[in-house]
Order: sequence, then C-alpha cells, then structure tokens
Amino acid sequence: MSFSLEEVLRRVRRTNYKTMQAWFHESDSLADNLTTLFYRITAGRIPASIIPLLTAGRGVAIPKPSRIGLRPVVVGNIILRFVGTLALVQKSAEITKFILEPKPLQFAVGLAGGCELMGAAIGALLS
Amino acid sequence: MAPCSLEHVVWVDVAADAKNAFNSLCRSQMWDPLLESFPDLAALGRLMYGSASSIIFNESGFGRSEVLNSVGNRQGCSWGSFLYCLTIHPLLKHLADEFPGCVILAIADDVHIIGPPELAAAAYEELLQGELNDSKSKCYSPKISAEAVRGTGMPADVEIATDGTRVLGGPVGSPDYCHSFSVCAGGHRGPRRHQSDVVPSGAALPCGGFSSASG
Repeated sequence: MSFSLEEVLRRVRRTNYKTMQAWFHESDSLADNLTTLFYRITAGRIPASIIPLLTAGRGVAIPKPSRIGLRPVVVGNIILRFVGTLALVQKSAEITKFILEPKPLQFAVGLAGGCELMGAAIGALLS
Repeated sequence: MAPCSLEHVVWVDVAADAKNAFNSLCRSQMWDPLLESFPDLAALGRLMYGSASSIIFNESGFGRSEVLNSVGNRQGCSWGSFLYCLTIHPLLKHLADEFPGCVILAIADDVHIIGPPELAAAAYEELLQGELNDSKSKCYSPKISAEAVRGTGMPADVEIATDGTRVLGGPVGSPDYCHSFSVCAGGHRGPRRHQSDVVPSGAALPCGGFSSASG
C-alpha cells in the first residue's frame, strides 16, 4: 500500500502534526531516509534480520492493585507503532465501513467514542 | 441496529467474557480476514505477526530475560485491537445471522448479546463454544426476575443482575443503580494506584527512555 505521509499526518493529532510537519517539510537526507524506511516497512520490504528488532517489545511487570501477582505490560517499538498507526489512519474509513455495515457489530476500531456509543446503545435497547 | 420499541421491554443484556481472548488468539486465523478485507495491509501484517516476537524484561535485581510470543495479539502493538476485531468479525456476523432476534455488539473481547432471554442464552452458548468464562460473564435483566431468566437456559455460573450493570466501565441500569455507581465509582475499581505502587522506591524506572507504556 502507499500513502501520502503529509495527508496521513494531517489526520493525526494536531500537535503531533505540527511537529512532524516541520520535520518532514525540511528537505534533508534524514527526513527522506526516514520516509523511505516507513514506506519499506509498510510494504514489508526490509531485511529479515531487522524484523525481530522491530517486533521486539520491552516488558515491564506492574503489581496488580490487589498486590497479588504481576501484570505484564509491553512497550512496542515506536517506529513500528508509528507506521502501523499511519496505515490504520489511512484505512480508517474502510475499517469503519467494514465493522458497521450492513449492521453495526463492533465499536473498538475506526470509530470515535465507541465505548460511549455502545453503552448508550445497550441502555436504549433495554429501556 | 434494531430500533428501540416496546418489544424490547423483556430483553436482557448478556456480557460475555472470553477466556484470555487477546492472549490466546491463534494468529493463523488473522490471515484470511486480513487478505480478504484489507489486502493492502497484508504485507505489514505479515511483518508484524509472521513470526514469533521477543518480549524482553530487564528488571533491576533480576537481570534480563526474554519471552517469545507467538500466540495472540502482541501487547504494545498498534494493530492489536484491529486484528482482534478483524479475526472475530466473521464469528460475530455468524452469530448475528443465526440469531436475528438479538443485537450483537462488541468492543474487542467485550461482547454483548441483547435480546429476549431464551434467545440471548442460546446465542451465548453458541458464542466461542465453550471458550467463555461463565463466572465472569454477566446478564442484566431490567424487567424479568433472575429466576425467570435462569429458567430460559442461562448457564448457572453467569451472574444475573436486575438493577443494573457495568458496560465498559460505565453504568447502565435503573436511576438508583446509576446514582449509587457514580457515588461509589472509586470503590468499584478498588484502591487507586499511585506511582509509588507501580515502581518500587529506589528502583530504576523499568521503562526509562520510553515515552509511552500503553499496550
């Protein structure tokens, strides 16, 4: 898939966009190479030896509120998270259509305020 | 979504809890829905989930250890919810088609079946076929007694409430239930955690250098 970084960034949070806009509008080799890297990751065209570095995560064990047991939390690679988010933002209209048509089934992705919508829908159906 | 009407006065809401849903999902089930519905994303999906990934723990005092993760959604992955939703979508569609008298609504692994109690109980039994955690699933019946709902075939371990229920952390139910929920909201969630509970005093911040710890 291909996407316009400019267009996608415009749809990400405004504060992020302004920072990134300045970054990518500068025509320099760093920005160019980073953009190329993002495109290559999106297309899956990176050396096999690099993939484990992108998919590895940093694990953190957090005590549960009951103080019995630990809850593992994993911090994913920031580059892969960024590229993944860009791809989903680019496809958000299709994703929303997929999960809401012909009848709404899921509210977790591609929809703002999904939790509130689902709670309101259940309340309305039972009232 | 079915319009709200008087027919719904005898409906119940069954909140189904799947056993370790995110953690136990077989990744092979992701590929067909991804290729079929979002072929443009397949290459990136393969890169993210085509092989086992490492989780590296580096706790002070315990040293470094690595856990390989090859099942389920990866924590810390921006595609976690998307791939989970994509994978269970055919199952939810099947359920909605099999039980047109019910409304099926889901946020990731939080699946709600709303409908007449006998149909909702049957749909619940059909959903994930034995992979549900009955003791954590809940049924909210605003108009029918718990005994009557139980008589329609609702599994014995599923708790039945008639005053209200929590839907994704928020209250749905009678005004009294919603009022008491808002008053006691802190108590429902247990004691608040402070930063000192998360990171032992004197220990190095485990995720130092990262700006986000969201999963």
